[in-house]
Amino acid sequence: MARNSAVRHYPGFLSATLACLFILYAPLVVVMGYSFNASQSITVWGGFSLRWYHEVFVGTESAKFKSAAWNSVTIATAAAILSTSIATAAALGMVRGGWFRGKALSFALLTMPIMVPEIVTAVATLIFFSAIGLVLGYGSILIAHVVFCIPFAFLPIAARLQGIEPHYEEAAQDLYADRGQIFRHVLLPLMMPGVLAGFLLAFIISLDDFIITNFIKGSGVETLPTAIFGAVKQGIKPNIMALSTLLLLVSSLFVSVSYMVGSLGNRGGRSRSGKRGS
Amino acid sequence: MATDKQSIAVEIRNVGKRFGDFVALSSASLSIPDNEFFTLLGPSGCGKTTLLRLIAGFEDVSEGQILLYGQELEGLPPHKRPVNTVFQHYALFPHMTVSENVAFGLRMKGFDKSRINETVQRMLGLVHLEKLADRRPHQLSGGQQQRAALARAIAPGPKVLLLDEPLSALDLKLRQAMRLELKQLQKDTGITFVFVTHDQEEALAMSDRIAVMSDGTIQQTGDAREIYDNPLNRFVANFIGEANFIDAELAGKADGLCQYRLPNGHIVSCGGAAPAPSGSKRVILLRPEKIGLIADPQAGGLEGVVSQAVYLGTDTQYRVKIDGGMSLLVRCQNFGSDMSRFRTGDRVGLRIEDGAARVLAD
Ligand SMILES: Nc1ncnc2c1ncn2[C@@H]1O[C@H](COP(=O)(O)OP(=O)(O)O)[C@@H](O)[C@H]1O
Ligand SMILES: [Mg+2]
Repeated sequence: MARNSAVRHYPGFLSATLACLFILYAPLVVVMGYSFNASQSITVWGGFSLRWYHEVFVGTESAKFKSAAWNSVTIATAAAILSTSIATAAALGMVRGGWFRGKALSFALLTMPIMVPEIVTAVATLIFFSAIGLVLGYGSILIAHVVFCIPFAFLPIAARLQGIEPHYEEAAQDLYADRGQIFRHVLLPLMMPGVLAGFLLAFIISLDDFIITNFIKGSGVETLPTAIFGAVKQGIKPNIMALSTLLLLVSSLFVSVSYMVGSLGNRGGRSRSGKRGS
Repeated sequence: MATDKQSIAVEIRNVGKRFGDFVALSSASLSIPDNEFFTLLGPSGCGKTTLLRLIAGFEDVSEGQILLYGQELEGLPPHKRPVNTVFQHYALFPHMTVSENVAFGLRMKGFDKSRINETVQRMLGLVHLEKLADRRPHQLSGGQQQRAALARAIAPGPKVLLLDEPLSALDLKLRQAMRLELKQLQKDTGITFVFVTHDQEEALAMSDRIAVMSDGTIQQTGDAREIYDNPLNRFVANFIGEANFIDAELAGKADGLCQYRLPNGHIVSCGGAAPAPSGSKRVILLRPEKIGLIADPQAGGLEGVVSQAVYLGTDTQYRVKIDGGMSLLVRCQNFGSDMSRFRTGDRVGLRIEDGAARVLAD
């Protein structure tokens, strides 16, 4: 404790902190603030108004944004569901599958995509898709999203599963549960905080992906990030700020829920093992 | 199938278990009759849990056979074996209430709702947890968790209940109370209990029969009295109760008892003697409480000087240095009068009844 608070006494701690916070959040605050601007300008404040939000939903570009939002949400949902399912199976295999040849390699291969520069993945995916003749569009975006979401979903699920002692599965088996029943009645409920965290993380990662999506979306299909990028190229209008603010809102909502689910699950686990006092 | 076969609940035939090169259990053989409270007793790491896990099916035997009511268990997965386990750390499902935990085995067996509810109520009554039925495991005390685990394991009506040191996590008072409760529960339910403990007192207090284990082998099987009074070897004698071991030499026979000569030339009559040629060397066992101390030594008796006296409430433990070298532990009950009290430095005589000393097989 004492050591944690001691960091505060380093010279320049406060100014460095404030500088970081400012650089990180000032642009966001500006975007959010000007999304309520009554004037057309993105630099001059003209009073409070919701006109740009109105514009997002019913304006000239609204049809484009709506279809992009629809694509984003459906792709993110489907990608999150699929990648979470695959990641859950992978976590079960990795954590509960005992030893097998190439286990360390499998783990590396599973999680490495997180560290590969996204632009490399994007180019490679595009080359691969054209090589196999896959038609670029909604389907190709979905496939790519499922794939790059898997490691993000895998990590919290595997971490959670590692924390579950095998006693519970043995107890269930002792009480006449077969493999399926053990998974459904014991393992899955205990893993649920990890699965939910993985799902929400995958959803967010998919929802705000730009680079890979932009490469492989083909023409005519847009997600929100690519649509916003497209609109910005023709000049920044305050309706983009409104849209960005909405996207930010949804993202932070998901991240908060994911965080709360995760910490809730951990707290339960800790108090349990603490009580047993072994 | 023969009826006498069926009255044997668990039969273990030359069972061995290796983990890689490590031998956790070697040629263990046991026969546990129906309705018995059977205890596996031994120090930590001797293979007790391993044997239980082999019976439950969590591990496969490396050699030998395990039979349940005459049926070979090999190849039968744990969820198909009619045995239940009370795990050392209970392993209550943390996401279920106490009654959901107790109902789990019944649900998996596919019983209908009304029967499940009825059984769960009965089980919770049996272990006095009716009021806590809707609590989660982490909201229970250690003793309550222990009882919930017990109810969960008994609910599906196993033929054999395996208990892996279920009392070791409880404090002393609770542990002593639970001993009696467990024993009563075994009588009431008629389920065969295979109980694991490293606590000899617990084993003596609860068991119909005990198998003493060390280093992956079963050293001796018998009821509490046999194990205590007639231990086969030094390990068993030492593990159960306190013991004096004396190297002695067979001098002859009288009244069906063997006469052994102690290193100082004194002769004691020993029971439990295996026939042996005169002059052969053996280790004899003298329990501290089987030696009497007297204030005025008789001629020809053992004599010595009290070198240590420790008052222990109900009795006093003495260390007596015998003339001629050896030192014996003696335990005397503290009666009302001060007659039997000796102090360090007192000269005392030792009285050993004929047959109080036992000859060990090795
Ligand atoms: N899965 C395993 N792999 C390797 N060694 C094991 C395994 N399980 C138990 N052992 C070893 O077998 C020995 C007996 O263990 P155990 O049966 O748990 O002892 P006890 O329950 O009597 O304390 C110990 O030395 C332990 O380290
Ligand atoms: Mg053990």
